[in-house]
Amino acid sequence: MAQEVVTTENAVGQSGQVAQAAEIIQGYDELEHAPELGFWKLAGIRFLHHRVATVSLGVLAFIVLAAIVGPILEGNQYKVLDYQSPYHPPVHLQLAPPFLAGDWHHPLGTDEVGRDQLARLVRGARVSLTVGLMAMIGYLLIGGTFGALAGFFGGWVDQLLMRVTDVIIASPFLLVVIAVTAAFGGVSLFKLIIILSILGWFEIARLMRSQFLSLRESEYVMAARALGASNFRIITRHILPNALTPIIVSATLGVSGIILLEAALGFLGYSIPPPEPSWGNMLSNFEQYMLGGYLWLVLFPAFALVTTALCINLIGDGIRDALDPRQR
Amino acid sequence: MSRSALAPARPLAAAEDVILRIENLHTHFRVLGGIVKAVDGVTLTIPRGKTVGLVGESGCGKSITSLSIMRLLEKNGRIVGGHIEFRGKDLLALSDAEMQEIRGNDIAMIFQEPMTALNPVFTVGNQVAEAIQLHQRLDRKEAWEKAVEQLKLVGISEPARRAKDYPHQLSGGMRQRVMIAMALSCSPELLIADEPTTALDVTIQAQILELMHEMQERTGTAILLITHDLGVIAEMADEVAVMYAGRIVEQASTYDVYAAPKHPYTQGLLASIPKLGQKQDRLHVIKGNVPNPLSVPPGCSFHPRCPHRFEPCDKAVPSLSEVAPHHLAACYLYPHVHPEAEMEVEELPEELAKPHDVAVARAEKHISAVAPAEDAEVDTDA
Repeated sequence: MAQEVVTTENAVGQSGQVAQAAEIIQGYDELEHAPELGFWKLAGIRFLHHRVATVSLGVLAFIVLAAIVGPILEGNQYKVLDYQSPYHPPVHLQLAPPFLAGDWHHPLGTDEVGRDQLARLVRGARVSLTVGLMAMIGYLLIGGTFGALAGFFGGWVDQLLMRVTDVIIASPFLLVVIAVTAAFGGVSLFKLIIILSILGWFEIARLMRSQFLSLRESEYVMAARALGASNFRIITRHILPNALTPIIVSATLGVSGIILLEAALGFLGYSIPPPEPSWGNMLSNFEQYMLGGYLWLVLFPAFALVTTALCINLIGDGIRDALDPRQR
Repeated sequence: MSRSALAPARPLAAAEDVILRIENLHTHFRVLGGIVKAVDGVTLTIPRGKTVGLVGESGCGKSITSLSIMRLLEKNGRIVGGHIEFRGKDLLALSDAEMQEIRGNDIAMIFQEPMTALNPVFTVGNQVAEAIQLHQRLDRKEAWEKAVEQLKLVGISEPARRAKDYPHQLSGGMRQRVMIAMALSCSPELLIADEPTTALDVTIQAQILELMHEMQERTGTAILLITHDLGVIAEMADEVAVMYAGRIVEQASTYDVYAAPKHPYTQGLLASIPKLGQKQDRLHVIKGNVPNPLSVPPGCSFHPRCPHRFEPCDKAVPSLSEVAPHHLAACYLYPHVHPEAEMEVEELPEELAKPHDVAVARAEKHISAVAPAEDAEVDTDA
């Protein structure tokens, strides 16, 4: 259509104004045929425009890939004791030839009993990421349900659930986790996830509650009621999708918190028991390493930990900006 | 005096043609300062397939009446007396599950704000389809097809494409059309339209009203049209009920009300509409203010503002009685209007009568006595 307009005007011998008008018409035409994007597609595009977040996503993807593929390649290397070469240094640069020194069998060196650091690091990544992700799912299930019910029904349901939440908030989190872990007599990965889930859901619950409190008053909820929708339907279909935006951001940021928490527990010796490595328990002998000058044994797990947590936080920021561009 | 002795003849409709009958409805709200009697004895009938306009100022209880019919009151509100009969069934006696079945299916509602009454995260087609699926056994695909058809019926061009749009991609008028499509998707027998055109500009208003008219002719739905716009009423309604401070003060056919209003409040309202081609220095106003809902004056609640008030007005509430053929009014100016029988109203729970509340009520009264009265304001955008 617009094309025709342009050509006919050209044939007549147009002034600049006509060309301009044709351009505008063409602009409208393009608008008309522009693809209509849904909320999530738009958010995805905005996220990809967020450079820091995209780079972080790439780095995290690499870490996740390493955590999945690494242990498969390395097999049981993580617990093989190589007494011949304890404290083997990693591959490193040196001034004299050969400039690259170290044993390529143990690219990141070995620890005090000669276990391969690289194998332990990638296997530890599995633990950290699994705990982070699964515990967050636990938070979402428990905290999400509690918060949604409290916010939606209000009244005594709200009172009861929020008082329970208050009790959990008031308790010293780390101490309780340590005490429970000790009471269980050492923990498996599964138990650790359960313990963290049961003790850590309150933040999600509060956020969910505040969302439900405001959204249950919205007109579309009233309209859904007027159409004869049940409470269950209103909660799951009408309120939940609208409440999700801040929850997604908070959950993403929360994952890095859980990973750091697991590391702290491992460092204190209350996480997965050895020989299973986690980034936390790899650091638990740090004094010995530091005093002995085996700096790499501290550096690599610490670096992995900080990088992962940082990446997740930056991705969380990116998601927030993508979902709610006004909040920047 | 018993209620039956007072029961007036209904205008226009014989008993079997009545779709909804509200009798002496009382809906009260518990608030910080005491109890608000938002609906204080409303009696109203809606004939099958007709449009009844419920008109009144903001805060007079129009919307609460409609929410009472749907039983969708806020937690602090309660229906404390009266009956709501829908097709001869008492809605107030139904269980929550039975009521849920009626909502949307037999009685549907459209709201004032088409901007916010649609869920922003779903496409409009999805939402219409959901409304259909709530009450009809259709699978996803069939429901979608029916939704598109419904959107076509309400005059949305390219319905198949528009159905995939999100609410924010549509204009206000389009959204209200979608709301109407949703409300009428299960062919309800009664449609409650709570200020359906207030948020729209005038040309769109006319289109939406025209659409409602058309849909009514197609489906035979009765409409309870709630508005403060006397122009909308004149255009749409077969019958008008005028509401003031929680009560119906006048009800008759639209023509009768506009041609010969009986109640002084209605007369005041109609007189406040500026007339085309008539020179007027000041618009007519009804003197005084709408009463504070926490302390409605005794007797006829309009009496402090009424130019014709005389002795009995502040003593007892006048009943809604037939003052002319098929014309009901609640005003002692007409000799056969009697005082309303005291209605036994179930009291709200005891926590309402705390001394604290009384103190707050007293304080508020004091404040309102000190504060200068604002000018009376009556919505008459005709």
